[in-house]
Amino acid sequence: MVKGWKDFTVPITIEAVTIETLPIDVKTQTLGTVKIDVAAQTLGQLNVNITASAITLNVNVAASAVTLNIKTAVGEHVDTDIVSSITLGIDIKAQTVGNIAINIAAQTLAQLNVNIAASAITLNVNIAAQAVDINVNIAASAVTLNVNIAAQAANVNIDFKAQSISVKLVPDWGAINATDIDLEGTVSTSSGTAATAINYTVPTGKTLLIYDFSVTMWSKDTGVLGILYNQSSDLILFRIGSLRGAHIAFAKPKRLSSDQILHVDVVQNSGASEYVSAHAGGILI
Amino acid sequence: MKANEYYKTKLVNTVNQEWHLDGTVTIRIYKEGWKRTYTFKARKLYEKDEVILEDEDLMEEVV
Repeated sequence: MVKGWKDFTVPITIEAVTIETLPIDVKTQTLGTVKIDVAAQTLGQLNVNITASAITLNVNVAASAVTLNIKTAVGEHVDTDIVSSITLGIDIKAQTVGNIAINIAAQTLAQLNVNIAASAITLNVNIAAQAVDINVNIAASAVTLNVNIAAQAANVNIDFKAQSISVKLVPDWGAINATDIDLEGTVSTSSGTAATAINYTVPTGKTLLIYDFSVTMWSKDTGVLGILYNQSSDLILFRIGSLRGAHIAFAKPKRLSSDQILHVDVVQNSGASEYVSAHAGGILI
Repeated sequence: MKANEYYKTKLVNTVNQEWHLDGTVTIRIYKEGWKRTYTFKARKLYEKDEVILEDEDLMEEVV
């Protein structure tokens, strides 16, 4: 409104083919709404400089491709040090998104919520902060969670509150998933003579890890010896013996590779023929 | 598939071997989910001149 004049409207229609420069300088105290519709096929540059103390700027870009650079009045990128608070909502509905790189250099970051509803995703998170709390809540029915920690010192706190889960080691998983194997063998052997109690070939493509081994005399309290033997490599893996029987659970399992032959010999010294049994338990992976 | 072939090529969960004085061995195998165990008998097991003396047909779905 021009001072001292009534409100008025001045329609301006420009039909020129090209306009090099169109300076518009508005110095009113308040300005309700300014609508600018640019229908040009090409627009070289559109500079918008706003010095208002507070403003809501809605920008709707319908172009097929656009580069949007946002800078503050001092020429810096927008960050939380310049504006007291900022809410940055990003909603991506594209069928595929190649890579999204997010680098946060803020001194403090109160909370970063990442909710991913994609059916499949690879999420790489590299955190170089000197101190960080990471809360990971996974509700998926099936998940593979690989965590690689390269820190020189790290505390890993695992808190399972669910009643239905626990930490299971490899032998437990073998039994649960039916990839375990119990090899039991019995032989009547003459005193002082080695006899085969178990002979087993690892199936092609599998590896046998033996976690326990035992040998048992059936009816006399005399000495008995069991020998766990890799027949393919001609190497004795373990010997165990005692009166009547002996058993060991290996802290580190004995390994036989694909197609290798596990052989268990037993020896007893009762002075007569006796039945001797042996057992080797493990998993096939 | 015969029990002997399954034993030598597939994963089983339980193996019972009974070694006899004549050098033969009776092997009973079981896998999780099977209705029962299966048995075969061999002479000179795993050797070049191995002979399978008895061998049951598996009545299970083989995968």
